[in-house]
Amino acid sequence: MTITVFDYGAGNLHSLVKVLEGTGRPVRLETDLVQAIDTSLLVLPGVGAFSAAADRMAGARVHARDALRAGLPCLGICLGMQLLFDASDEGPGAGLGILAGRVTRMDATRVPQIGWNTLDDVTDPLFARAALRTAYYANSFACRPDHPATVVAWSTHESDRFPAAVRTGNTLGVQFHPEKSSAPGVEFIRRFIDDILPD
Amino acid sequence: MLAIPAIDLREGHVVQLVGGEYDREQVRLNDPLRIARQWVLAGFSRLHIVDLDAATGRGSNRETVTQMLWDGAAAFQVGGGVRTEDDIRTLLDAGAACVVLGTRALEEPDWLERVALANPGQCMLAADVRERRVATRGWARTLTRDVFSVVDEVASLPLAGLLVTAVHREGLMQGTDLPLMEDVVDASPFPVFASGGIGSLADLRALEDRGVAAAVIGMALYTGAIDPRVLAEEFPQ
Repeated sequence: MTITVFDYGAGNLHSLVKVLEGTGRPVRLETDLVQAIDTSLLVLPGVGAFSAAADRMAGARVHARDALRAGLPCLGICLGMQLLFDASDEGPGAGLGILAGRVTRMDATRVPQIGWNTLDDVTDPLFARAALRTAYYANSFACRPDHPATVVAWSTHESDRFPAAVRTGNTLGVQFHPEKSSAPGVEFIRRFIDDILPD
Repeated sequence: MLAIPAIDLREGHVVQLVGGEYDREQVRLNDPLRIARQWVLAGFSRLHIVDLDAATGRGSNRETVTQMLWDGAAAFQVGGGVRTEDDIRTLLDAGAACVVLGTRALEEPDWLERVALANPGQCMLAADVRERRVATRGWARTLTRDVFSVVDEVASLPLAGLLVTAVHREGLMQGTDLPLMEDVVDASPFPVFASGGIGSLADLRALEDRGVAAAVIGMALYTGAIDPRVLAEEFPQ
């Protein structure tokens, strides 16, 4: 029941790892994607740039995509959510392509969006169970899925309405940072993991 | 990372103190409302107001604060002497984006829990830290509590964030306490706001690199050590 955080080598993962460890399961950091998918739950963290992360995934992209499609649970946070899609305007490189669509720059004057934003049109009961109604964001880009039915929560920054969360199979992607969204955010992570990795 | 100018109010003026000490006032400017507007013109969209007189029980600048909130030129986070539910309600109703709670929130955890739950995402806890220990009452009294035990105690509350002021660096512009900020970011399940000692753009870049959500900048802006327009351009608003 190991949780593995794929480390793109781009930044500080301590607070995320601390929250994951709080679920009582062992957590490891892995810089090699092939090794990383040998796990019970893969976490794609939210630090760094799309191209650099895509580069780190390049050799194992198809393996990882197949593993997720076969049901390996995955939580993608911020950039980690964006990596679930095909490609990004942020830079070259291929995402995992678990979800069809592109990542584009937010249509707003204040970019990046840094701060709290409300969640609406929430269709996934996980949010209500965690009492997560507002979430902390730090992003310049947002995902534009070809199939809006995969979106389970939305937020709006200025005039840009963008997916706050997407879900397909055992994969959940969130544009916000649950690990920085205070108690409800931490509860959101804990409940997702408890649901998907029953003891 | 957001860059947020500080507006510290004392006797109706905007001031800057060195090391958080009231007899070491280095900057004193008239017309706080005009100064708030100037920061907005320079490109900032969020301002951090502290009523130093209210924080120390020497007086109040509430009228000035209310004027700035009514003016509505920016998003304001407001602190200094916010010690009752009425204070919180009044400031939020007047348009504050969030209230910054210090002394009472640190001394009465039950009160902090009550007001944080009643105003989710609108209460920021301010910890004035000297050598990793938390001080209250306008910095005159040092508590013996470790800042990390405070973070653990409030981890379950829906706070807007945690403002960590490295009091021993404040007003000196000799750099922030980076190891402190980095460790607090690691430990906190909410955004961390940093202040105290920021003297250059390099200090700000170092804070951003360590995952700090926002930096509150005082002396370096008021003395011109950092060009406000360059700052507002490099860091998002």
